[in-house]
Amino acid sequence: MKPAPFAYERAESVEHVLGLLGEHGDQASVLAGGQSLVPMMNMRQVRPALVVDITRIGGLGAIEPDDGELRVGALVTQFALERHDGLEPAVAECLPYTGHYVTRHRGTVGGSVAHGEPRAELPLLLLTLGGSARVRSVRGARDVPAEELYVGAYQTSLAADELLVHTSWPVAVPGEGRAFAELAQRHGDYTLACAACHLRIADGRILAARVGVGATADRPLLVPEAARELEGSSVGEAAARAAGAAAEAAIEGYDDLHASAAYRRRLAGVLVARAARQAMERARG
Amino acid sequence: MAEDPVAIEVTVNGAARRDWVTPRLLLSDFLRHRLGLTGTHVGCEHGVCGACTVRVGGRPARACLMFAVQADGEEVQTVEGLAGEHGLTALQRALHEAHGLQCGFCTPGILIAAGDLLERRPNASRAEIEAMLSGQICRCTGYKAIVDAIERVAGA
Repeated sequence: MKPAPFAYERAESVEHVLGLLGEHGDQASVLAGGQSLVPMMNMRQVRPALVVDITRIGGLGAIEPDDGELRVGALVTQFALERHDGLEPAVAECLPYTGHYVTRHRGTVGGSVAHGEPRAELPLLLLTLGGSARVRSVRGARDVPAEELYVGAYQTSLAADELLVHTSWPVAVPGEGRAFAELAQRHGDYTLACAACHLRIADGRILAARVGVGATADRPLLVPEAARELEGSSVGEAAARAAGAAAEAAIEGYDDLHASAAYRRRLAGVLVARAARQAMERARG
Repeated sequence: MAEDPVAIEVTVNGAARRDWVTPRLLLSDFLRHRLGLTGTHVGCEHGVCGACTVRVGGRPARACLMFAVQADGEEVQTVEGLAGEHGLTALQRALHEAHGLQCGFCTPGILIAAGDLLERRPNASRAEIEAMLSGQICRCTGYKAIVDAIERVAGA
């Protein structure tokens, strides 16, 4: 299948992109790695009149520490982040699930976050860690917390003229632990369900927790019911199991060719418990 | 906004190629239909099967997920560019010897993707090889012989 005709602009700078999006935002798509956009164009699921290629512009490819966060430029590939020295274990264990060896060489972190695929791993992890995205337009710049990023499947709260320029990933401090868990039918395929957990412990008790699940709704979701089971509990297997059971009871899930809603709920519960167990282990240091 | 053809210059397997392409022309179609390099196989045309994998700028890429216009100024390597004056590469020989192909449709993509893995990870483990191959669909072999062949080069 071939894409519908479109006009192509190779952007030379962020300002150039913002100008093009300011003028044609409603009909334009931003092309970064293209590992999600181009399949959708080939299948005619999207027909942008204008494709703005941002891959040649400088300044969006850095990974740098920034006041307790890791700032990841929009054009950093999933492969480059995977290879980054000292990368947080939860991020490191999430990336190999993101597409395949070859697609990770072009697929970008910013693209994955901005695309809003409801089963995607990076949006779920950004949400669970409490990260954010910096977006710019000719009207200015703003930081969008991950909680406010997703409004539906493939739909974000970004306006048509806004460009995601970097994402910020809070770095764990001593006493904090995070983990990611997933099951897919084949390595690299769309996940049946995935889960992430972020918690803080002191003196054998869990002081604060965030739990997220992916591929159970039209966007990644935080599950406060599961986080409440963890908060105030003693570190241990009972807390992990209670969080998993609470997640299973709280989420709805959906049926498709690969799994029933009931199976997804059950699986999400198992994965939440697995992530919580691992996060506690890491928090203990 | 125009959909007019754009002039591009791409170095393909070491040779400079100039052409005019409409933006919607996929790199896979440019390689096959404009340059006649039919070793780049097209299976699914939406990034799933891996048969069209080539290298662009030293990195592996699905040629069906790139527009030819994006390759302007880049170096592209296809399966035709692997074997040199000394004949087949070690990986090509290993696939032949280990019976790592039957119909051969997936083989060009596997040669490029596995070659890239071995260049970055010369001692890649069997698990790493299998994870990489999950993105390269083969419907004949059951994969064991392909993994054996790649592992033979990794362990050499």
